[in-house]
Amino acid sequence: MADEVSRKTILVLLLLTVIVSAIGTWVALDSVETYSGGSNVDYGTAHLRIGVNVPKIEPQTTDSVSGRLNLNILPNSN
Amino acid sequence: MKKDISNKALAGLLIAAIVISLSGTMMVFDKQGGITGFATEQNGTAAINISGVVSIALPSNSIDFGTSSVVPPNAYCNVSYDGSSTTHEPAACGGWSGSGDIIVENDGNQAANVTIKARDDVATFIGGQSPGMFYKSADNESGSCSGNVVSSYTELTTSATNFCDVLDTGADDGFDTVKLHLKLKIPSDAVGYKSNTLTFEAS
Repeated sequence: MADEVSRKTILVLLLLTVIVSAIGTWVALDSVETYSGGSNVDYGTAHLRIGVNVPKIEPQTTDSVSGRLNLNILPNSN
Repeated sequence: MKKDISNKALAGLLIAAIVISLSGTMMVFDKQGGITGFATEQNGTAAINISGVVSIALPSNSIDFGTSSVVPPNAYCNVSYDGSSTTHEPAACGGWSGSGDIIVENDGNQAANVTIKARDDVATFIGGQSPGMFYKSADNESGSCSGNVVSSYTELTTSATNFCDVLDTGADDGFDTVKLHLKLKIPSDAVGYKSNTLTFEAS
């Protein structure tokens, strides 16, 4: 019949369906692995190491303090 | 008779399948539009290096023997002060009375070897004939000096001598203080206001 789609057209459309689906799936999986670091497709484990930068303090090995000593001696009769 | 699906209907289904597949792909891209940084575990490491610090302080830093004189016919007065009480010899020297305190505290994080010295020697400080300046040290808090204190009166000079060779850091500011005891020999021919500086050095 003239209004029927030909078997050839059906085959082309089927092939196109398979190719588009395969490419879409591959691109999506590749993208997920590359950028997301995990998804419901493939969970990965990311490790994050946080370093604390502490300023170096030179050791102090000596110290010195001073106190006062006072008295007042009055003159005597000698 | 069972009717087969037409080629036209089949083509329509295929086109629908293509559209759905394309839409799914676009939705995946759209959903993960940003970088998620999705991590299931995070480890942090903090490192700290505490340097040793030798540090001492004087919570009490002054002793005053007050004002008096050597009463004739005495040739001198020996006055001793331990930070709380004054003793005299001979008895006629009772006019001298000490006040104040000199206490050395280890406020660092390492045990310290502490020495003492005077700015002025005894002749400059007190003057007169045969003056004397002596010191000894004792725990202000029990066990503060785990090394050697100076337990008997020793001449105090301008050269550094032992005060406590292992002054501990203590815990929570406890058991880390040593007190100075002083003894002066004041001759009858010395007169005037006298002042001296005592320096404690820790290493």
